Formats: sequence, structure tokens, C-alpha cells
Amino acid sequence: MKRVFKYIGKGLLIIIVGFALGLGSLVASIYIQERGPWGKVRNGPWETSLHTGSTEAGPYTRAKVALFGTLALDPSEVGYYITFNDSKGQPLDCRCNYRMEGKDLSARWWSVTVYKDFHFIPNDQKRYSYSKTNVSRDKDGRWIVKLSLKPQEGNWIPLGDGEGKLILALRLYNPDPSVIEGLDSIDLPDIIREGCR
Amino acid sequence: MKGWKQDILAILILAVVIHFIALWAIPRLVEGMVEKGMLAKERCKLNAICCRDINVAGIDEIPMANPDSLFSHLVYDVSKEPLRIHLTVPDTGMYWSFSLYARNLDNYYVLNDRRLKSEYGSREMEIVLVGPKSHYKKTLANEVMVVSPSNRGTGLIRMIIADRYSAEGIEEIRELKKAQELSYTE
Repeated sequence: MKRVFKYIGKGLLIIIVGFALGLGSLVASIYIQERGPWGKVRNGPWETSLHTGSTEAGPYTRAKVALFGTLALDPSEVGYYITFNDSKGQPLDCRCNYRMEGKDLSARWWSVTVYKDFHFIPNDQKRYSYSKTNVSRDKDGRWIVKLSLKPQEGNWIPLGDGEGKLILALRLYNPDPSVIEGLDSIDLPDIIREGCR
Repeated sequence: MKGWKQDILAILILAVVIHFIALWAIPRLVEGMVEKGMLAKERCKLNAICCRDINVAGIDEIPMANPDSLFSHLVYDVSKEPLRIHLTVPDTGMYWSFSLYARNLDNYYVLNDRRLKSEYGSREMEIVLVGPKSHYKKTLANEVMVVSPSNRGTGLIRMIIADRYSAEGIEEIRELKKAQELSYTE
């Protein structure tokens, strides 16, 4: 009887360790694959993938897109850039104020959106984004979007007062061919930290 | 010692099997949850286009959804018969697209307003969506047959709103939701 329990215990241990190793290695593979050179393109603090939403996506990209970019479109239809960092490479922090600066992007339509933990940040203004068709520009066509807890003049997206991982997303709908050819070199908005609480 | 080696081997084999099963299953599980979420919306059912409200914080179920897009969605099952989809592009001049996703969330088909106008010369079209083993033959000259890699999947209509935060944008959303009833399935 004691021997039976010993075998059952050993079997359970093998199953638990096997599951943990299998799932752990999968999470690590998705992370390493996305951090590595396989299909990932960097442009300043921004990152994009050549295969997001594509039928050519590898199984690891497909799994990651399923989890964090569900129902994305192919890059030729929409270019998606995201960043977790500012232009100096520091992680975006909800307790800080930021200034995002840029000019019109070469696409039929573009937008910048702020997320916390991959979802919109609740705010009284119900403001989560600015786009080609509603951002205010200066006389040279450049725009500034401010991100902060407290209200600011001009284009402002509230960051809310809760904790969480801050993410910026840039979408380029029907991007010009020059964008597809220069994903790593086109001009993208700068993200400048302007002080923290 | 021999037993200890066998245990390690069993753990490694199990780990590899679990790794690849989970890798295969993740997109399908997520797709299942997406389907469930879509069908749970009021007046939404299988094989029917359903217009959603514009996304706001707290009800944005899809991670990193586009706040400037009005979505209509479709959960389809073409295992028994093809699904006829009638699409009408609203006259806003903004980006519009209809995209289809297989059971593994691969985006296997996308048609935007510009392509529809340049290739089909119209703001309206008929798509016949068939399963991977269907023997369907085109019956109408103007219909486009699309073969889904899986019998089940999802579809999305995206309509960009120029300024969802303005009074004009709110009115446009209301009008688009009304107009979207012109897109339907049979």
C-alpha cells in the first residue's frame, strides 16, 4: 500500500514539474522570440513586428498577438507600433508627465493611444487618443500631445491616478509604401519625460 | 540511478508535449473567448453581423483596442452551409475594412473601402463565405467567394471616426450605427 502511494506521489510530481517546465518554457520562448531579431523591428523607443496579424506569423508571434494584440491586421493594412519606454529608454511611469512630439505620419490615417495594462485609462474626459483628424498642430504642422494626471492646455491625454504598466500605441492605417520599406527608420514621435510626482 | 534518469526523461517529454500543445491552443482559446464575448452582446447571434458601441474604458474587452474605430462583428460557422454577407461602405471618406479571422486568429482576408472601390467599382458587395471543404459554386456574377481555413471564425468591420470626442463625431457614430444595419448576412 505504501508503495502504491509512493508511485502515485512520484507520478504527480513528474506531471506537475512537466507542466511547469512546459508552460514556463513557452512563456520564455514567446518573450525571447519577441525580444529577439525574429520579425521584430525597432525604431527609437517604438517596436513593431513584420508579421503581426499575418498568416505568415510564426506560432510564437501568433500566440503573443492572440494574447496582447487580438484581431490585429496585417502590416500592409495597418502598421502597429508600441512602446513601454520613453525616448531615453526609461520605462513609462504613470507618476510622470510626458510630452509626445511629432509630425504627420505617412499614412492615410494615424493615431496615438495610451493604455494602462493593455486597456484604456478611465478618465472623466473619456479621452484615450489623438489622431490625424483631431490633433491640434502648430503653424509648421508639428503636434504635441501631453500625458499627465493633471489637466494641461492643448492636446492632453489623462494618465489617471492608478498604478499599472503604461503603454503607447501608434497606428498607421493604409501606410505609404515608404513606411513598409522603412519601418525601422521613418520619423516617429519622440516621448519626453517632463518630471515625476 | 536508472529510475532517476527515467523520471527526468519523463518530465522532459511531458514538458515538450505541454509546450507545443499550449502553443497551439493559446490562439484557439483566445478566439473562443472572443467569440463568447461577441455572442454575449445584446441582439448578437451566430452568423449575423452585430454593431457594437464605441469602446470606452471599462468595457474594452479586447486588449489594446482602437478607441477611434467603430466595430461591427461577426461570429460565423460555415460547417453546414455557406454564409452570404452583404457589405455597404458608409460614405464618410474615412478608413473602412472588413476582415476575417480563422479559428487560430490568423487574419486570412481583408478588404478595405479603397480596394472595394478600385476593384469592384462600388460601395457595396456580396461575399460568400465557405468552409475549407465546401463544393460551393458561384451563382451570382457580382459575388466574391472567400474560403475560410476553418469552419468557425470571426469577422470585423472597422470604421474610423474622424473625431469621436466631438459633437460631430458622436452624431457620426449614431449615423454609422444606423447605416451599418445595411450590412447583413443571410
